[in-house]
Amino acid sequence: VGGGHGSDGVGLSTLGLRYGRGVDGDTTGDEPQPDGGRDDADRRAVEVAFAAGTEGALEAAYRRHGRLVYSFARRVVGPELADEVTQDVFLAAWRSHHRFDADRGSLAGWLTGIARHKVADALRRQYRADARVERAGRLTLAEPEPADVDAMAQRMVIADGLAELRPDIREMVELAFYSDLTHEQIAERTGRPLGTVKSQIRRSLATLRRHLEGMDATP
Amino acid sequence: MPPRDPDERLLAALRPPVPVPGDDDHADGEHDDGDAGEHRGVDRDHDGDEGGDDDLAAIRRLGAVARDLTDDDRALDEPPAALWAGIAARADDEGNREAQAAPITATDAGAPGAPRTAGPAGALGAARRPGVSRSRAARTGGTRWLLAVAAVVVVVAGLAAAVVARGGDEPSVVARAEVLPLDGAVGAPATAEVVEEDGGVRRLVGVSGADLPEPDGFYEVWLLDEDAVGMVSLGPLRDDGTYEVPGGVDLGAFPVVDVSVEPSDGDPRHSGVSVLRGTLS
Repeated sequence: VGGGHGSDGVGLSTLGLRYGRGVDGDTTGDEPQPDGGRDDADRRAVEVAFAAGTEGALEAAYRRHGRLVYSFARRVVGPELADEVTQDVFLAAWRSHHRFDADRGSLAGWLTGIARHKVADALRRQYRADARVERAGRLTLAEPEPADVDAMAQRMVIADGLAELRPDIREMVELAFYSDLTHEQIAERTGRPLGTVKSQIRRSLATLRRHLEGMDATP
Repeated sequence: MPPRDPDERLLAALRPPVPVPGDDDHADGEHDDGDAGEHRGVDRDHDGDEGGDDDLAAIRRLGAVARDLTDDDRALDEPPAALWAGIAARADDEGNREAQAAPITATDAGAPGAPRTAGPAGALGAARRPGVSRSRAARTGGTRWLLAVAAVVVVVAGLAAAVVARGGDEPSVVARAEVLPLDGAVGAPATAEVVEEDGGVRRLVGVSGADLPEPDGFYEVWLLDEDAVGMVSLGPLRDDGTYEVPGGVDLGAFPVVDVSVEPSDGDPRHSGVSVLRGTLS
């Protein structure tokens, strides 16, 4: 029995998983912020369910990360091919769900890592089709896998990770990233206790680096 | 002198490195790459060890990525509403095919003279799905049985081939790949071939990495699946460029020839750093 649309509602409610942002209208309403962050336990629940191939987990993963994967694909291969590439990414990931290891990195990162290869494949297919027309000669046929695609994948997964943070936490983290302020100054600026600032930044950095590590987990 | 407080060290790692006199501007980028490579593979030993070197390297890398963020990176596009339905339908299809394909595969593999020797195309389609998507538990449980079946098939195929092709034909080329340096890697393009000898033994030839620079660690040769998620190691790179393809490996399911740089850290997994790659067809 696959993760079909007919039964996903059942699977998801069984899991008690909450959909990601973007689908909303159905948030559980226990978040103080309107743009409430998805907390770690929630993310972990989806990751564990996905790795286990639990019914409904494919949809949960798509609801959470579909926008990221689609947006990345669209920017690399264009709107015509983006749908197909996004489908390929999620289906490939689902076929290999048992290879996803949450201890090695996040699902968002892992999916983005797969997406990086899928867009490269799509570009290569396109390139071959072009090359057949041009037949310019072997030596010009370097694989079209530009380094900036990889860099863009990394940036987008981190941007998405930042967007997932609760707004007040995101503010602290962005001050950590983009200012020269010390923890004390960040505490002063945000009006939060020093201990909170330190622990939230530490925790958020740990969450964010998992996205890059998830990408590393696909060769 | 780096700060002693682990939190302060994290902050310092996150931010642009202070230029060292004598270093030119390129040091930044190269430094980040080195950190990323060094960080991989050893990370798990240091989980929870905040402020360890690996953690700082990971944070440094994170900071470098974050510094390059643009508004474009932050603005995501909404996928078409129908996209999920398409994924769900295809996932259902594959689920159904898997359910049907599994018993058929088993019968095929068990039957003497099964077309295992027919070449890489033989086992491509449906047969590949169950192997890839079965749960870990099922795979582990079935491994011994599969190995036994595979061994029988190999022996039967070997005998058949020996009877038919006595006297030793030329090994036949069953697949070929242009193996090219990946972006940013050094090395010359090469043609790799999988040849099948009359005993049914398949060898990958032509992957010697003659032009590769001295690695930090060693080079390892792999067959990857199309998604670069599943993989089979063929061992360290050899000067003669020749590797035996294990008997049970379906080249249709693992068509990508890949050469990676592996740190000598005892971690048997792929480092994630590939230098050469090509797809068999």
